[in-house]
Amino acid sequence: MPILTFIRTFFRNFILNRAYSLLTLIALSIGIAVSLLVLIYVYYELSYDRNWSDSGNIYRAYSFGDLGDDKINSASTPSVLGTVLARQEGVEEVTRVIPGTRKVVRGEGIKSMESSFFYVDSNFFEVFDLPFVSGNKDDFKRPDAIVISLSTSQRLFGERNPIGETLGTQLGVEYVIVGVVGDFPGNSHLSFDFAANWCSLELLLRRRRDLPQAAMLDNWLYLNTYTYLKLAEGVGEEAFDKLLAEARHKLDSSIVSSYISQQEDPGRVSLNIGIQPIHDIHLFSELENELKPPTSPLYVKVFTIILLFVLLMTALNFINLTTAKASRRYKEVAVRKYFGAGRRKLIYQFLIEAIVYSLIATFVALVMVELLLPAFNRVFDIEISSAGFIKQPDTIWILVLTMLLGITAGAYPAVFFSGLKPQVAIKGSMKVKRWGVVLRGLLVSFQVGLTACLLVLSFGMYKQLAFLRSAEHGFNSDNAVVVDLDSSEEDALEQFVVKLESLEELAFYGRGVYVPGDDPGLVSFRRSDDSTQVLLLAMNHIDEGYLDALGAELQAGRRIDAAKNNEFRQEALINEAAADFLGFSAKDTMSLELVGGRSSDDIQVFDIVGVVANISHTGIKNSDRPMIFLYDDNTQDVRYVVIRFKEGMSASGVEALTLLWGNTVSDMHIELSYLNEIKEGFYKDDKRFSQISLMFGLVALLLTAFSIISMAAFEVQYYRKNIFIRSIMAAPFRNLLLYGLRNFCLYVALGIAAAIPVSDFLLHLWLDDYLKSFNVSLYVFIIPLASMLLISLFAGFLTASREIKRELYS
Amino acid sequence: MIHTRNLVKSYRNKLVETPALINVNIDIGDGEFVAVAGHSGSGKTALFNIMGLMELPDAGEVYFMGRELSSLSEKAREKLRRGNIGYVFRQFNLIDEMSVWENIELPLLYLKLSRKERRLMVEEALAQFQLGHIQKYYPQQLTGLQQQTVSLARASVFKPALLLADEPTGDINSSAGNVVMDFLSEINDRGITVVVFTNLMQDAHKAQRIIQLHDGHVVTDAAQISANQ
Repeated sequence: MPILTFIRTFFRNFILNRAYSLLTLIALSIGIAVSLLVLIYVYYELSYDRNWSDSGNIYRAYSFGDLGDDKINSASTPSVLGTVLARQEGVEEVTRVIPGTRKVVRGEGIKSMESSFFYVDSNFFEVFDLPFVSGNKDDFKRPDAIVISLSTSQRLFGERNPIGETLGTQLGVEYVIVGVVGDFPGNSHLSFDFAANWCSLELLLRRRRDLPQAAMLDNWLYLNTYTYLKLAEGVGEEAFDKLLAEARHKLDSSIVSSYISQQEDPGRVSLNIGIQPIHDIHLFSELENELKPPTSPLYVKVFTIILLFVLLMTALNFINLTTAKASRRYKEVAVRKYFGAGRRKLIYQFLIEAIVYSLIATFVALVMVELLLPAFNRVFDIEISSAGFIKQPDTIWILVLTMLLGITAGAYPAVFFSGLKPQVAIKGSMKVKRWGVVLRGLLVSFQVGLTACLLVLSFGMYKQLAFLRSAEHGFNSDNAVVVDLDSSEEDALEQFVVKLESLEELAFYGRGVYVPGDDPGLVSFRRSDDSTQVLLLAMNHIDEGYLDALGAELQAGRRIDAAKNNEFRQEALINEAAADFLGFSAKDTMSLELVGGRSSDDIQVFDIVGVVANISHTGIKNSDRPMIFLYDDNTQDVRYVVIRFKEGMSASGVEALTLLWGNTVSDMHIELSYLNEIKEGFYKDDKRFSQISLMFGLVALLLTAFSIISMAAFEVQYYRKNIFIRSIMAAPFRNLLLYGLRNFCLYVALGIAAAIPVSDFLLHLWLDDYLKSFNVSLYVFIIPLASMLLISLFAGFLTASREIKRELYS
Repeated sequence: MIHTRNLVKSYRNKLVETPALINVNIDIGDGEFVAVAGHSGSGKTALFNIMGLMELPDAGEVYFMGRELSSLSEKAREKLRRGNIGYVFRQFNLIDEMSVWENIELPLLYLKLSRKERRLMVEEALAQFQLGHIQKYYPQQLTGLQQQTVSLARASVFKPALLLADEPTGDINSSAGNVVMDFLSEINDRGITVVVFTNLMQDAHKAQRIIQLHDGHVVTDAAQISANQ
C-alpha cells in the first residue's frame, strides 16, 4: 500500500478526530520540546571547555596541602609554578592567567570601570584558540599588548576598529590593543573582557615592590595564578604526576623557603601540585577559588533522570491517547484485515502514522524550543542560542532520537491494532484485559503522585525563599545603598564624602572594605592569653558610621574609641559568631594578636570592646562566619560607602547622590547597589532552583493532564456498555459520570496519597541543606495536593462528561 | 467452491461453553447464489467466520477452492483470503476517513496492482453500481442504501471467487433491501459465488438455494426456483 495513501488517511483521521489528534500532537510536542531542552542543558553542561581544538590535552594545575592549621585546596597556584612546569618533559605549553582587580580603563574618549581585566601569558592564545576577529595573535608578544573581547570592543569603540588604540589603567600602565577576539563561549570556565600581556604585570611589580601583589613574583605561598598546561599527545594525568614527583624536591625547597619568611615552623606546611583535565573543571572541581562557580554533577544526573522520565511520560501519553479512543479504529483495522491486509502491513501503516506524528511534533517542538530558549537560559543561567544548538554536530542525532521516541511510542499502538481479531474488532467493542486497565490506572497514579510531589516541593521552596528573605540578616536592607568607590580618585572621594553629609535625604553613611555580598578575607589571629591557638577570622575595616549605615546593632559592650588606637594596639569589635567561638562576654577583657607579623616587635594587638550582631555577607543559608571589625579611616583602603536614607526618601536620595557623584567624583557612571538587591542576590541560586522545580512541576502537570484525559476517555469506552444500560434504566447523568470514573478517582487518590510521604521526605531532605528553615506545617502539603486533586478530577470529569454525552447522544 | 465436513464449533468462556455449529455438512459449488438462513443464535455468524477464513472449526474439515483449511496457519489463510473472498456486512463498515472511491479501491491496494489497473477496476465498479456521482463523497454523507452499495462495490471490485454477505439488508429498509439483493444477484450473474447470511426469509428467497440453520444444525438444504425464473 503506497505511503502516500497512509499519510492521506492519517490526515483525514486527524481532522475527523481533531480534538484527540490535537491533544496527542500537543502532548507529543511538549514532551519532545521539554526533552530537547533538558537534553540541551545536559549537553551544554557536559560540553564545558571541550570547544578548544586540543582540549583533550589541556590541563589546569591546582594546589593542595597544609598551611599550619589551614587546608589548602585551591584552583589557584603560585605564579612561579609556571616556570617550573614549563621545564617538565611532556609539557608543550604552560600559560598563566591572573584575574586582575576592578579597575578604571581609560582611552581616547573612553573611561570605564572594568571588572574582567586579566593578565595572561603571551602564549595564551596558542592554548586557547579563540578566533581573532581583528589584529594578530603574534602581536600579543609585545609586553604592552592587550587583547579585548568582541563585545567589549563593540561596547567601548562601537563600529570603530580599536587595533592600535591605547588604553591606560589607574597604576599608570599603558596598553596597546593588538587584537579583538571572539567572546569566550558560555560553556567555558574562563571568560574575560581584557587580556593584558603578563609581562606588563611583571614589569610593574618589579618596579613597584611596595605593592602587595609584588610578593607573587617569588613567593610559593601566594596562590593567585591559574596555571594551564598543554601536554604532549599521550602524556596523561598519571604520567605527568610521575614527572612532577621527580621535580618535587626542587619545589619543596622553594616552598619552604617562602614559608620561612612568614612562619617559624616550616614543618607545618606542605604544598602539592596536581593537574586536572580542563573539561572536568566545570562539573567535577571541588576546589576553592574557582574562576566560575562549578556546577554539581548531581544536576546533570538529576536532569538526565528527568529527561528519561519525560521521555517515558511522553511515550506513555502517546500510547494512552492513541489507544484511548481505539474503538473508533477497530472497524478500520477489521475491514482492512478482511480485505487482505496482513499484520505487517498494518504495523507498517501505524508506524508511518507515528512517524508523521513525530515529524510534525518535532517541528512544533523546535518552534517551542526557539520560543522558550531565552526564558530557559535565564532560569538555568546558561547561554545557548538556537543557532548555536542547531550548528552542533550532534544535533542531527538529537533530532533522530526524538523521532525514535515517536516511533517507539507508535510501536505499541501498531502492534496492538494489528493484533486485533477482525471478526471481533468489526463489532467495535473494546476487548482489553483487566490487567491492562489496572496498568493504565497505576501509570496515572504514578504521574499524579510525581506531579503532586513536584508541586509540594515547589511550594515548599517558595515558602523557604520567603522565609529566607524575611529572616534576620544582621542589617536593615531598606532605604540603604552601597556605592563602590573603586573608580573614584582619592581627592575627589574626600570631597564626595564631605558633600554627602549635606544631603537632606541622608540618615547615616559609613565606609567599609567589605559590605554584605562580599566574602571578607580570612586573617589568622591568636589570643594574647593563649598563643598556641590560631584562629581564622574574617576581617573588615570600617569607619565610625558603617554599623549605623548598615543598621547593624551592637549586642554587647561599646563601640570603638578611635582615640585609643595606636600603631600597635587598637580596639576592635567582633560579631556574635566570633564571640561564641572565642567564649567572649562583654564583662571579659580579651585581646587578639595578628599572626604573621614580620618580627616579634611588629605584633599588632586588638582589644575586643564590643559584640555586633552577625551581619550576613552571603545569606543565612551559610553559617555566620566569626568576624572582627577594625576601625580604619584611611580612605585609600576603603572600597565601599554605605548610605542610609531617611524613611521614604530613597528615590530622591539616589537621585541626589548620582548628581553629587557626577559633580564631585567622576564622570563615570556611579556604581550603586541597593542593599535589598544585594540581599536578594544571596538567594539567587535558591530562587533559580525553585523556578526550575516549579517549571518541571508545571510541565509534569501538563503531561499528567494528558494522561488523565486519556484515562478518563478510556474508562468511559471500557464501561460503555454498562453506561448504556444504566442510561436506559434512566440513571441520572451524574450517576453515569461517577460510575464511569469510579476507578479513575481511586487511581488519582492513590497517587495523591503516595505523594504525601514522598514529598515530605524530599522536602525535608532539601531543607536539611539550610541552617534555618521555615516551619513545615500541614498546609504546605494541603494546598498543592488539594490543587492537584481538583485539577485531576476537573480534567477527568470534563473529559468523561464529554465522552458519555457523545456515546449516548451521537 | 467451499465444502464443510462434520463441522463443529463452540464458543466458551471460563464457565460456559456454547455450541455454535454441530456436524455441519455443506457443499457450495462455483457460481452458486446461496442463502444461509436462520434466527439469531442459529450459528450463522460462526459459519460466516469459518467460511470467511477468519476462524477455524473445533472439529471437522473445511475446504475452500480445493484446500483444506484446518491445517493452515493464520498467515496462509490471510493469503488465501486476499483477492478470493469479498465481504459485505450488515453495518456497511466503510472507513469513514476514506472517500467512496478510496473505500472501493481498498482491497485492490493489497493485490499488488498498478495504479492504472486499480483505477480501471474502480471505475468499472462505480459504473456497474452507478456510484460515479458520489465517488468523492465520504460514508457519513451517504444514505444507508448508498453505503451498502459502496460496500457491495468494494466486495466485488476485485472479482473474488466468493462473496460473503452477513445480513446485508439488516440496517436498511425493505425496499432498499430489495435493491441490495438485486445487486447481489447481479454479482452472482457475473460468475461470483455469493453466500448471503440472513434471518429474513424474503431475502433468502432471492437466492437459488436456501440452507436453513437451527441451533447449529443444518435443518434444510434445498434448491429453489427463483421467482425470476
